[in-house]
Amino acid sequence: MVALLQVLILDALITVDNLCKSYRNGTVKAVDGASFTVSQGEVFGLIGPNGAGKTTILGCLLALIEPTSGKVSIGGKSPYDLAVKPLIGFLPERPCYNRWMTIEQFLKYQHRLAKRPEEELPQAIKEVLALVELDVDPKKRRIRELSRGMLQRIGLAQALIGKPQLCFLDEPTSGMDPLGFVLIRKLLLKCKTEGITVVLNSHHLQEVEKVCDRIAFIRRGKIESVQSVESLAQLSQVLVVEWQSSTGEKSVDVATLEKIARQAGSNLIDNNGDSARFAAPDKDVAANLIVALTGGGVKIYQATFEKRELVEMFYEDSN
Amino acid sequence: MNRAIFDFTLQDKFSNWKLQLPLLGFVIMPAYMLYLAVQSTPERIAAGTTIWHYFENPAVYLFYSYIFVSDGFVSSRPTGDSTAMTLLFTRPITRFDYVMTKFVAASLGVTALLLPAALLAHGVSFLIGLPPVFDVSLAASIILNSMLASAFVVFLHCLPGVLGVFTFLMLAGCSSAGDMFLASASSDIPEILKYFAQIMRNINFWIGDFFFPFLNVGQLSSGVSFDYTAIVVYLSNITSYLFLGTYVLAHREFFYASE
Repeated sequence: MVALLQVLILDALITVDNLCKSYRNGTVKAVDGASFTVSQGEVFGLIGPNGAGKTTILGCLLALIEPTSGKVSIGGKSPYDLAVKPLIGFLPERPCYNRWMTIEQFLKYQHRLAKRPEEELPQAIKEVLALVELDVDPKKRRIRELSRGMLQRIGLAQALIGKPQLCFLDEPTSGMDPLGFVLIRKLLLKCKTEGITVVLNSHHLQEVEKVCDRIAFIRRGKIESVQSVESLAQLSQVLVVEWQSSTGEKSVDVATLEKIARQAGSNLIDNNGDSARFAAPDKDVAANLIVALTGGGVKIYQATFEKRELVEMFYEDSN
Repeated sequence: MNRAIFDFTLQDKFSNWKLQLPLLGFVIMPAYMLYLAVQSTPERIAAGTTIWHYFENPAVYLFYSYIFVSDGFVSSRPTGDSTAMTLLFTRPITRFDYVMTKFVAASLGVTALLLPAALLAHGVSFLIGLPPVFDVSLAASIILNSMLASAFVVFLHCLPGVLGVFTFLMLAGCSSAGDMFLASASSDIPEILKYFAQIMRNINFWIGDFFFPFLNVGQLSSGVSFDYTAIVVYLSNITSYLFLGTYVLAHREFFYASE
């Protein structure tokens, strides 16, 4: 175990090399040649639309799905290796827990399955319930009595009870309220500060972009790009400019707007008469554009960046 | 052997109030059946054979094994539920460990139900003046057949979701139905049902002889020589079921994306 941890600290913790997974005799390719690495202590996001292959990649990393071809290793070892398993905590997307158990029985069972020392158990249960901010009596409440959001918290608690070095979180905010979103961010930050590696899987980038170090964009089973969050911020953003159009005054024509946009290093996306959308790669270009438009006689009363999901921006940009 | 799964398989079942009453009922059932048989059967010897039939009935062993092997019995979830196993196999547990733990726990669980049941039936038998029901050969038969049934049900449990449940229900159902028809063989039943009854009887014998050949320890050495074939068949059955269970489990994929 110590030797494995040393390997994890020195090198990439997870290596996925040309991973392929097909179903139905190869006719359905869930994952098609995915390759990436995850370093120790990194929070790595797998982002993509539904059916992109995110869950299948997680399944291969967890040794729950056998890859058709390619290689997956955790700390240089196969994910099937028993030495790897005690390092892992896993939150499944669908809560599939033993419904008839009380919270305490369930967490005790998971604690024992993770092969943690028995004497740690009472403290471990207290700690994880505090971490996931679940204020219920674990001895009385049964799993079946919990709401979807509470189940998600129990899922997080069982993932953390084995004191994992590597967490796989499949759609961690699924079924959670806004407070739950905040909790997930807090937990991810805590993992980061404690050097726990996290691989998370989501189709909502907003919830994870603030805490992820790098993000892999997946579409139709292929990894389209692996980018740091800083580089993602440089993806084209859309600046929406609205101006005053007085009655009788000639509206701003498209040619003028296009000319001004080009001068400021931007592009006109569309024009609605009293507003227009411009591609603005960064804040400097946006500022130049506003100055140029004002100089061109456009009476701007509002200019804002359009709120778009980062995943949407990425896919639009790559298209 | 995984201690957590072992405890979960046994403790969880015996400590659950929903199951305690039915389990107690299973223990009392043979003694009660014996009492009823004595009341309704003029020949007392026939009543004794009724009890023997209970302890060599494949359906009894299959059902009792299922209670212990199934992860979701208490919550009425089918055996072999892959979603429950998904989380389990992210923990440090080998497929072989899982199969062996389930096998040992279920064997002990079934034995813990049937041995007291046999002892209770023996007590009742003694009280009403019947020949003794319980002896060493019955105890050995119960232990050995509990192991065989548990190995078989563990194998079914390892099959992908619906297949395992379907096979279990078909085998246990045919076995029970065959038994019922066997019991009513002498009574008058409509002509059309006789064909159906014969089919069920055949399936019942087929299950008994092929999947689940009851090992009667008392009869092993009752002939001219010791019946080694029965022992070899018994051991090969248990080994095959455990091997096949591990093999199937090792090749199953535990993720909803693959379903």
